[in-house]
Amino acid sequence: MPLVALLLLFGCSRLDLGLVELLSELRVVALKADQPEVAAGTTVTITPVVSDFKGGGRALTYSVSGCLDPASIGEQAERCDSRADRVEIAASTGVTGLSSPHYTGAINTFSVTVPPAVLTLASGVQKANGWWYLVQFALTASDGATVTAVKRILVSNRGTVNTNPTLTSVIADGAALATLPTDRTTLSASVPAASKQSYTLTFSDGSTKSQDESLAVRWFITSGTLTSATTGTEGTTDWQSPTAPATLVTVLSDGRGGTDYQIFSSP
Amino acid sequence: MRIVLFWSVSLFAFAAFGVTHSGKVLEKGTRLPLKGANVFVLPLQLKVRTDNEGAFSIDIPEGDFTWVVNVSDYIRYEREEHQGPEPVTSTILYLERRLYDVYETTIYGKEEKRDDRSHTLTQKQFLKMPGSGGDPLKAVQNLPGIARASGFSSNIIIEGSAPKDTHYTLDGIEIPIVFHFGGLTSVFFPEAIERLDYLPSGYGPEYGRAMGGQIGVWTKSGRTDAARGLTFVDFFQAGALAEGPVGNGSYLVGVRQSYFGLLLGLLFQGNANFDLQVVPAYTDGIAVYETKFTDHDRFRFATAASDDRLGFLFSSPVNKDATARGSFNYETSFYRFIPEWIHKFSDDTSSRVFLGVGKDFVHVDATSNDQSFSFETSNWAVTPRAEIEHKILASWKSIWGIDSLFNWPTYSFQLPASGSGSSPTPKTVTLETPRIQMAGLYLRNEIAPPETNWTLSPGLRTDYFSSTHETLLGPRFAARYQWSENLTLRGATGLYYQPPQPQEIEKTIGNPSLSASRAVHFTTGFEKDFREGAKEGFSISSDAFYKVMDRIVVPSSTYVVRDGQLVTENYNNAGSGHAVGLASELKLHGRMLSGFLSYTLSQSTRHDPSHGEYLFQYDQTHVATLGLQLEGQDHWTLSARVRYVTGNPYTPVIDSVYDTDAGFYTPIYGLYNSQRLPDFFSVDLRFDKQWIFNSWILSLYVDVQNATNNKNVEAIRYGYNYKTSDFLAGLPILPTIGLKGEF
Repeated sequence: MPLVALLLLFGCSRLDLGLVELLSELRVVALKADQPEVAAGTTVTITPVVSDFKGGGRALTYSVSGCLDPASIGEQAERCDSRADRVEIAASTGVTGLSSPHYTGAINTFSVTVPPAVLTLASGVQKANGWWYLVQFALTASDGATVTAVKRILVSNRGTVNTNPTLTSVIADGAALATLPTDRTTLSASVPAASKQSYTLTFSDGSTKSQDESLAVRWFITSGTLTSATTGTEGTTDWQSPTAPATLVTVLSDGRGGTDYQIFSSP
Repeated sequence: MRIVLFWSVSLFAFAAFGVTHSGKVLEKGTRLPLKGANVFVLPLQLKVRTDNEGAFSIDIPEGDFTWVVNVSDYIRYEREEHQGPEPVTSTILYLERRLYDVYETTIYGKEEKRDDRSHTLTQKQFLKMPGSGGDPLKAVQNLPGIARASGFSSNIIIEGSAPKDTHYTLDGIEIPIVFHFGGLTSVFFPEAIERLDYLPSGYGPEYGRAMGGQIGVWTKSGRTDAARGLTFVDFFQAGALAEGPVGNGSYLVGVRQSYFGLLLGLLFQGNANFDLQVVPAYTDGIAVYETKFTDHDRFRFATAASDDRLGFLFSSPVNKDATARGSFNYETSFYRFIPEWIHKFSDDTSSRVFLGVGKDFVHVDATSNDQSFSFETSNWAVTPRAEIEHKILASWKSIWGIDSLFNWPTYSFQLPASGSGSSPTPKTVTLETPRIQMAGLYLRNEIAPPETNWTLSPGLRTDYFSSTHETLLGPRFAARYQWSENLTLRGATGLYYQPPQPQEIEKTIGNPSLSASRAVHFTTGFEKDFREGAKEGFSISSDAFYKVMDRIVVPSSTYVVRDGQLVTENYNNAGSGHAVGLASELKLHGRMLSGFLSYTLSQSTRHDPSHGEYLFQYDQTHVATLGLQLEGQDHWTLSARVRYVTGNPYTPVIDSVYDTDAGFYTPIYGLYNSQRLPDFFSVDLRFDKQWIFNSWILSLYVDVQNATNNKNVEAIRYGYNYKTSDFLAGLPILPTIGLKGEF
């Protein structure tokens, strides 16, 4: 019902239900794989970027498991829980790397080895385009608060694999962001053109098509406001009235598992 | 001498009653002639009676006198006048009715009530139903057994069935779209509709292809006594209707156009973020031509059409997501031509042949940055129907009929480009589905064995569905026992089939191996009229119903081999369900005060392999509606409706997962349909006032929906991570004021 869409769209007030860009409670901001696309049997190192800004430094642990992404085989499941091929990769591992006052940043990494037989049931086309291997990351606080995030690693036999895009720097009012803005500053991402890769899609009739990646930039802050939580690489967002201590996390995603990030923290 | 005396007396008489005064007696406001009315001239003790044209002629002596006309159902008419020496030929006496229902007509050719449980809403009833805005389909929602439509929809949900299990017909012909924008208002000009029939569980064999029930809308024929018209305007729309005699028959044409979209356009004008490129607007129209070309033959041609459109553009990021900007366009339309021929062979035998021909069209498209999605369907529909009714014996009537539907649909859709992963879907898909044929034959018998109080109605319906390649038998049986003059006991049962929807059997996105869904209905109840012949008093009806459903089409992600390839099944017939309940209605029939109380107690469940047994999403344990109407002597009516409905089930979100690549959270759901939204309560008020002028009537109506501004919950909205939520309320208090001129 189109009028329902119209009314719901403008009936929604996000402010009272929380803002995706505002980091305050326990959050997983990004999971960066050193290799977003690999052949079966490859080991991938993943760096989590998390935030517990208002956690007061409480103890955190994480658990990791992996499975073939159910969506690859036409099933609907968002996690590896209760999957027959679930592999436990890490259990209740203590988090290190967060410090006062921001408690936001990259933490200790972990490694995931993609099972060698993961593509056994895939067709030729599916092997060429790739199947996803799902990595489930659960972050738990000492008081029991838990958040779960997933990361997908593309497993294929493609000759030219996907690599992570590069977020060179964050630009604030035309210059690299170096200090916390006092009032309002316009932010943008500096991304080299080569980060936007082209790749080949193979169709069931054997034909192929070249496709370009679509890069997105996601912005996260611990104080102040943003005019846009997500932009393209050419887009901007205004950060207004942050108060120290403040952190800005910028995550660049290529839509195919490739990720990069930058973290700015004020004293 | 006698001759002289005679002529003297005559001359005196001529001098005393010598001036001819002629004129007409007409109904005030409508100008309808009042035939057979006695017109008195006082104090001269003269009287004359009007003819079939309402005309009269009387000789009145010069001097003062008073016209007096006193007709049942009319306000007594008195007018003083002076008769001069010259004849008068243009006197009009306008008599005012006590109650005006200008557009209520005697139902011409009304079919007898074949199904005991059927409910009929007349135009008078739905025009003034509070909370319905005069809309016939919205007024149906007050009837027992009807669940409240959720959200902003007005779909009619019958006795535990799904909205798609309700079929809608116009003059007996199935139509696909009955609401503008999914529920704002129906596509029917209310004053062009004569009546609406609601057929719940256990309906007869004349209709099929629906597991829930039938809603039949019947157009009104034009008046044959005089040309009439009306025009109206309210907050949302305006319209006009004209009808009258033509040749040996009549015509009726009614058109409506909305303009609330223009108000929305003004509201968003200058908004940098949102550009309403195509304001929401709808148009609908009905035209009917009817003629009698012999004493035994009547021909009727009805046309109905409707068009909705809406379009908007997001110039700026939506919800701070700069990647979410784009446009949305929506258009839907349909038209039907319905010629009909009714022939009476004899007092015992008559036939009816009619045909529906038309086209349906739906287009939706949306763009967001580089991604676009569109869906379009176009369908030609031909619906032939024919029926012969024959009285075999005085106690046995038999009805045979054909009820078929032929569709030629085309679907095309364009999906967003898939950037990665396995086997991406091609960008544009056009689906040419084969012609869909649904042929039905039916037989109904009505047998009233002599010297018993029974009426038995065994029937049979046969359906062929080309989409599933099935020929299906659907037996029906109904019985009525007249316990006394005012107490009727009744029961019915039947087997009902419903074919899958076109997208469910399409070979690319559906499953061409599906079967038709089916339901068995059982219903029993009674109807008691406490008035015992009087006009005022109470009546009550109550019916228990039970439905068993199986082969319900449900989504499936299982892989199957089809045409030698491993593909997802998409859908299968693994669904089943039950619905049980009691639907009751208490009516107060009164001259000044009338009303109804309808109450339905029910439970509806479903089962499918994914979720097991669960409460159906439209399960509403209690649905209670109280309606009251008070008619004043000075042509005003005040009516109120109070509704209470149990909240609909919903599936709670118990957790969420953040997809770090896509940048959004995915909800994790708890037990399916294990929670309920808060209960619904609303009070609707309506006030109507008429001013009767000699040759026209002005009506004002004020309709206030949700007069207490209750914040009824229609849905739940969640925060970005599904950890927070609040309730989304439905429509707030919504007043509508309208003016109508009838002439």
